[in-house]
Amino acid sequence: MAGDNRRSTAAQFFMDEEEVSAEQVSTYDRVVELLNQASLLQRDSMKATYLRQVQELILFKEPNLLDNFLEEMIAFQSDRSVEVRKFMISFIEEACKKDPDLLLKIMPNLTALFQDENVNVRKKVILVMAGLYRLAVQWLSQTKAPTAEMQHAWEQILNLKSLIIDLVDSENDGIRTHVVKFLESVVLTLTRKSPESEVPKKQENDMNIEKIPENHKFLKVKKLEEEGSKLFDTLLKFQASPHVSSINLMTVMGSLTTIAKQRPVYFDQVVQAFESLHVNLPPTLAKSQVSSVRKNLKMQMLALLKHPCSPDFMPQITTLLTDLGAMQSEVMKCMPKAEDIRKRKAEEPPSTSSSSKKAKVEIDVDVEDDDIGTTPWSNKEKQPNLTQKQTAIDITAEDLVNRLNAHNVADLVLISMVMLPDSLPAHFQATYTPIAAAGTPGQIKHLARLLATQLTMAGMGKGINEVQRMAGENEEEQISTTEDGVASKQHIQTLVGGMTSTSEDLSKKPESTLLGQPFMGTRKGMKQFKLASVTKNMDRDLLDQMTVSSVKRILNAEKSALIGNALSERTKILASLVAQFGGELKNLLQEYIFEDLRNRADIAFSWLYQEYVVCHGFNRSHVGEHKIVLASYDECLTRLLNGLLERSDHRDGLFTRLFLEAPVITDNAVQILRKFCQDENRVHVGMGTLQEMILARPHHRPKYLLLLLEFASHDKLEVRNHAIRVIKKLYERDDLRKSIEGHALTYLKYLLAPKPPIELFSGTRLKTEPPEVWVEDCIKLCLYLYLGLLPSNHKLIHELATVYTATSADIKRTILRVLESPVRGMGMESPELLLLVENCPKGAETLVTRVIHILTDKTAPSPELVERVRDLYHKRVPDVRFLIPVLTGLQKKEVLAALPKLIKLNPIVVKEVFNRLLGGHANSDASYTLPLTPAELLIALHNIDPTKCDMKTIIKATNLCFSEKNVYTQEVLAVVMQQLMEQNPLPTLLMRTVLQSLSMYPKLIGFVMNILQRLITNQVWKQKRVWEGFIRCCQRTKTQSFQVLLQLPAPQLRNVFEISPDLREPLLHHVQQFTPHQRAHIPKAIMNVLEKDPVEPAVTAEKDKKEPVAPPVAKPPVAATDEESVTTQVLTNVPSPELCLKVTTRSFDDGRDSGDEEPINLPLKSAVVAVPIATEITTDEPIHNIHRSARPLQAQASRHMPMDDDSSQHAAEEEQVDENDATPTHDSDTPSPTPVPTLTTLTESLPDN
Amino acid sequence: MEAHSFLSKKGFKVQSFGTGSQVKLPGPSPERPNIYDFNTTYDEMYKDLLRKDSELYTQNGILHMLDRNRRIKPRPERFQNTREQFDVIVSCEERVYDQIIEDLESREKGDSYPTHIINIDIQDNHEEATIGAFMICDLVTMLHHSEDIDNDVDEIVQVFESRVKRPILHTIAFC
Repeated sequence: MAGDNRRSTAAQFFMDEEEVSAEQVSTYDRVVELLNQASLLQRDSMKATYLRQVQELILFKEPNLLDNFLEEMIAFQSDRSVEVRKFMISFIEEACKKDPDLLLKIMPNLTALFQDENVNVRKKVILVMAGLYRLAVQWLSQTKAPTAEMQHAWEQILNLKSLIIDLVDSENDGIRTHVVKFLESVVLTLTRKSPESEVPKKQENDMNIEKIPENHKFLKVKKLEEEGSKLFDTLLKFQASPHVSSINLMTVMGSLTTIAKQRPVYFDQVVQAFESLHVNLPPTLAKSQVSSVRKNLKMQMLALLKHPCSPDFMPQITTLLTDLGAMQSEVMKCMPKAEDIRKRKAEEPPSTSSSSKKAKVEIDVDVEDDDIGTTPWSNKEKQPNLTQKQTAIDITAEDLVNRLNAHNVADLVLISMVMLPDSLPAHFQATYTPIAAAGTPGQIKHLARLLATQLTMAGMGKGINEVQRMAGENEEEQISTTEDGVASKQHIQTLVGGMTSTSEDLSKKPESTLLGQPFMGTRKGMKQFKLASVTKNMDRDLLDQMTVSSVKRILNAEKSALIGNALSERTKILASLVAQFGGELKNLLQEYIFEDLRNRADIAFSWLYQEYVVCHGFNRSHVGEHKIVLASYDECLTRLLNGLLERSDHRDGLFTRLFLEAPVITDNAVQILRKFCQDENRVHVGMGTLQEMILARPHHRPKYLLLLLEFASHDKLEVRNHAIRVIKKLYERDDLRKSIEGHALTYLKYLLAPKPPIELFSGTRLKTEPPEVWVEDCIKLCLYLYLGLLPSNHKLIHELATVYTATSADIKRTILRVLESPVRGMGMESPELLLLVENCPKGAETLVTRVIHILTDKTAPSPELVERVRDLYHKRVPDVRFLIPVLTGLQKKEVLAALPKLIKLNPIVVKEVFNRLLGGHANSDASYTLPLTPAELLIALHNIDPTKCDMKTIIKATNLCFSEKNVYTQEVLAVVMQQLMEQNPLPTLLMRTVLQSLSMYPKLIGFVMNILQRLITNQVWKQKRVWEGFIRCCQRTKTQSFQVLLQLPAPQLRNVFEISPDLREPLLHHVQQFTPHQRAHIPKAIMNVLEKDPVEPAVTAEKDKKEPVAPPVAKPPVAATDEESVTTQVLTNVPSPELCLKVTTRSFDDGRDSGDEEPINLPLKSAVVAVPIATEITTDEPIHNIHRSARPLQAQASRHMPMDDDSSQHAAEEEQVDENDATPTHDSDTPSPTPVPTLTTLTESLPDN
Repeated sequence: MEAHSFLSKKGFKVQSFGTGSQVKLPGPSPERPNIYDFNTTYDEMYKDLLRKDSELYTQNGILHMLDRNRRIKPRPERFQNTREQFDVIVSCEERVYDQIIEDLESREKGDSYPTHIINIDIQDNHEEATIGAFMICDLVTMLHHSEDIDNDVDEIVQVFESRVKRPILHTIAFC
């Protein structure tokens, strides 16, 4: 195309030339004319053509003109045409070839051209320099007496050479290609020939270092030779670089082949390099490039095979060729002729086995040490090198062959399967050939060798170790800087290649590792190392877009990273990128993390740390002052936390981890935690986190603690309970105790404020306006935490007492209500509680009472508690109510003393007292003894001094006893009656009790008769009230009691009849039925009384008239409809149905005291039975009162059974306490305006007083 | 030759070669091709075939092809016999590509002029040849527009490969 062919032009020229000579125009004129035309011409191509003609003329036709026109020609080097400049370079080359002395003059021009802006010109210089360098060495070595100018020129050449070599890392593919060619030429020049060397066809190119005189003035053979081998290594390294482009690769392969052919010293290294290249093709190559490269490799191998040196490497080369798909015939065709080999063998010295060769070389080296420069250098440095390198792979391969048994191979395959990429990589697809001879010894050997190559490349395996050991031994012998170079190069190469594993384990199949490495490098050669020089400022949008997409790619490369064992690096890269560039990347990463939180938490943390680092500027180079702005870090943390907040499952505990492991917790994060904690489903996790944070982050402890404490007064139950539970746990720590306590007390003291303080509603609950007054909820908010702590620290109770005394009734009520469980948690043994009871502050009586109640609710009071209560009662607050809870713990005497007061209390309370006293309370717990037996209690009631307590109250109390049918069985009652009867004077209520007992247990009739008889002997009539009762009893037990009545002395009997006239007739009748014998026993006086009606005859007559109408005997009673047969018995004695009926109706009348018969309802089911106990108007006031209170008592009695229930009891207690918030016993100034009906019960004194 | 003709018309400096030892043209059956040596001109071949079976060779287009060829250049050339240097060599068959490289490698190293050798598989028939000519022209145009072919060739070949969707072989040789 653009490049015209010089030769064809030259050919044309010769034709012209003939014409010219025919015209006999002098060459000189011709040249001048051509030069003039060239300088005038505008068309570049023509210009080059003219100049080319000039070149022919002055170089070949009349070389003597060269000097004359050189200047003029050189002037064209700055021509604006690229073509012309390129031509000038080739002109310089041709000129120098003609006359090497020109180098002296021309070098600066060449250097100048090398700086040309056009890359094609520079490439041309590189190409030309390859030849010129060789020429210069040749020229200098032939010079007998080198001059200073020559040295100067040589320095310029060296200078240019090193400039060119530096370009091996150029970003321009073409330049690299040319540099490789240049290197090839230089290497050839600076190395020695050997007998097998292939000689270039052109003689001029056959320059090698042997031709330099050893003692040359400035061409130091040794140095040059070292340089040659170093450059050769550069080529090897270049070929093995992981991202070499296909063109470069093929070029360098060609160069290496050329070197190997011309310098067989390197044959082994080249073969080896090709071997490893074959299995380690650059991953950046496209599919077709792979085929091109393989084709090229095959060709190079065939070329090497043709070389006489190849028989030594026959197995490697042929295997490689087979792998590359070469036909057997092709291979055979290229094999060196058998006779050639034989001939060559013959030429060699007899001892050519590798070991002896090596030994010989070592001897040579020794010699060389003594005598530098005199010993011929043949192969001296290379040979040991060769042996070593060979053996490294060989040893490993040999080692491997035996190990490649079926089992190991299967393992290898299985392990490799994991590492396989999803799709076939291009080069694998291209290189894969089905293995025809699988399992044969040859194939195993081949496989072993492949593996060995890889292992050696990776610096692993038996071979490399041995070689290294050998190298160590040889170190003293100054062998091979080259070897080191090679070794280190190999090492670097493998690292870049992604072989990060350092284990010697066979299990890592090298191919797979290779396949798995991420394909992220830039496609071309070494570009990535020159990033800075090629970067331009990119368009902002494009930059962002590219950043995003590159991060996306990294995100998608998880699997590759996993296979490539680079997960941690990937994480770090991601974190750094996102932290540094932010923006959209944050969203990306966040999404990515939350897609698989469990496995990507590491990335999250890494990101967070990175943000922190960035915010703090830890990785900034300048340490100047800068404000630490945690905004970005905060955003990151908030994003992560919010993400977690939105997720539904929290099993992974990442939330907690994040809080605990984050370098700093920002305020926003705390807000999130706060939100988190308020979610019922997560409160558990949230609180746990908070607790951990308080423990693990002492620096900010107060802040977190405060947050936690606020939750303790949260309005959601769940949240609160969790918080309090956590606080309790923390409360056990000494360092936190104080602040927690302080907070609890602060809240407690809020209660002292006239209205709920605004602080109470800080933070979480500002949904509504804070209420103006204390409502129950608010009050409770203040108490939760405190009450939670109470069981842990009993001392706090005193604060409550203090607060309690000063607060309003509503708050007091609430406090009492919520007190139960904490106080129960404290237990009766708590010394602090006892202390409270002991010290009971003024105004806290209800509180203390409540506490005592709670304590003794389920269990018997402890002696200590009883002691305290007793003290309190006796010394400071003589309120009998204190005693109630501990009644069972008191002594009999004390109970008896308190009894009058106790029964005066509110009926409900009295009932409670009796419950306690009778042990109905103790749930059949017989473990403690009651201070009083039931019998004793009833007796005690009978014996209460009437001056201390009015009869009505006592009757109420005894009724309560009777209602306890379970306790007061007929035996107990019998005992009671027995004991009462023996007293003197008889208790007032004796007969009432007898009657009551009888109505309850009619079977007691015999016993009662007995008692009546005994009473007669005790002269019962002396006590008016008892006597009345006696008569009534007799009335009730008519017929049976007749015997008893008959035993009365006459005056008393008369008295009986006066009081109860209706007894006389039946008694008389009874007596009349007696046998005469029996009648004889009845005293005369008695009979008189019997027969003589004490009341007016009119009345008697009236009665007489009535008698037939109502026969006294065995009239079935109306009330007998009652199902109880026992009752029937009793009722048979009821005088008349009318009367009975009448009494009954009257008993339900509102008790008028006008009637001469005062009915009393018995608190029994059989309450219809009316037993008038006072028939006289003389009955004094208490009797009326009894009647009045009888109804409520009855009502209560009917309520009794359900009242045994605990809860209703508590309710009753609460009610009781509530209504007495200001205890009237002491607070005389408390108005007690509450019109609660039962208020009076506690303080009730008899209405008469 | 089709490509030669096409590229010439586009103004490129083109030469065309064969790499075999002889020139083979389809005969009456695959086993009996018409074989000429490289010294035979297209004109002589044209006349020879016209004489042998004018109908058959008109039918299969061989005569037409030879007619075209003889107007481009007098006779076929053999690549191995030329010593010229090229910027780019395009081959249409992998076998030919191999032969070219082998030849270039075996040549005596001269001025080390870099030559890019590119292979694109094109079947040897008229239709393919026409398409191939377009493709080659496409490729060559791209290369021509490059300022620095050595640097850009890799990229261009890749682009071209993905465009034509045929495997491309590419290497560089210095001759």
